[in-house]
Amino acid sequence: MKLVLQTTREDHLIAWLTALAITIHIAESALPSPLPGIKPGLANVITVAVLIKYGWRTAAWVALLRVLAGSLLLGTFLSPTFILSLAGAVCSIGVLGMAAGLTRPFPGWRLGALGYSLLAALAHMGGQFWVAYTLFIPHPGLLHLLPLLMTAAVIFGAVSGIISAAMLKRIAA
Amino acid sequence: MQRGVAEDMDMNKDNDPHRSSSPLCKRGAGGGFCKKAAQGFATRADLVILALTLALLPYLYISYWGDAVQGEQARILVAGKEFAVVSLHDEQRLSVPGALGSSVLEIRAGKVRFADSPCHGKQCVHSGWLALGGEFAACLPNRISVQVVGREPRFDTINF
Repeated sequence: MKLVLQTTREDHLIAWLTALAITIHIAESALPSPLPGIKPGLANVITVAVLIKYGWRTAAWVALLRVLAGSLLLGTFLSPTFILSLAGAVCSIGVLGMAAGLTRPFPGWRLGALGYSLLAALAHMGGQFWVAYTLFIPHPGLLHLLPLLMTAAVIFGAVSGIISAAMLKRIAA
Repeated sequence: MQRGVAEDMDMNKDNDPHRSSSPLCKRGAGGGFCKKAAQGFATRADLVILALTLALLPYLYISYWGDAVQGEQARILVAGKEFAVVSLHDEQRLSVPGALGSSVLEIRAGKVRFADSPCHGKQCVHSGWLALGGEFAACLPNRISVQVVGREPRFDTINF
């Protein structure tokens, strides 16, 4: 008997978008970083674009699958890196969901790629930092890194947001 | 003034920032559309978020780096417990009993350092003088740490 997995259009969409995000994730992991925890997070471009174009559910799938598959490919699955990455992804997707839900009743205040991306970057860094602090290095000295880490998050969040906005424009055009 | 008008237009006509007007721009449908395309890049809410995050940063720097001024006291911990809090203005050499033996802390001219420690690597001694609030050195083998604090610690206890 032949087993046929029924796949929906949404499954295919998620798979394609996740593949795109994983590619960015892995390419980025080759870049050197001045401080552990600081990286551009360009895979966020995809998450934000997916959120705006296809909704939160698809974005959550893409973000979480990206972390899972990315860690398997990089060999960091279940390592601290993976746990930090997962914490960041869960936090950022949670904040994106809240932001999307909160702004839905107010059409004049709808967020665009830039706002979502900034929120996602800050949430990602916040979640990651919180886990690092509580789980791995509960040393008060770590808190002195927070301003630097958050500065990086704001800069990279804004950059990803602008890229994401540009990408959405190209898709729409 | 102009900005306010543009924003109103944005709100009435272009609620969806993702409905791009760049093709109109290319077709040369007028400067108004091009201007709008540039503005459609960030919605009003985006700008609010951007402002909030930019405001958050100075707050973080002040609250976590703000006490990076001349410290007033040295807080000495032995095995995680407070051993002593001494003023950085009282010049002295302090012998602190640790797990391996006594470490010597030297306090001079508003600074503190490990002058000697019975540990192997002497990492603590190599940390040198500490003077700024928040600066920290530790001799992990001897389980002694010293941190410079400002005049008044922000909290003495926190309860939940």
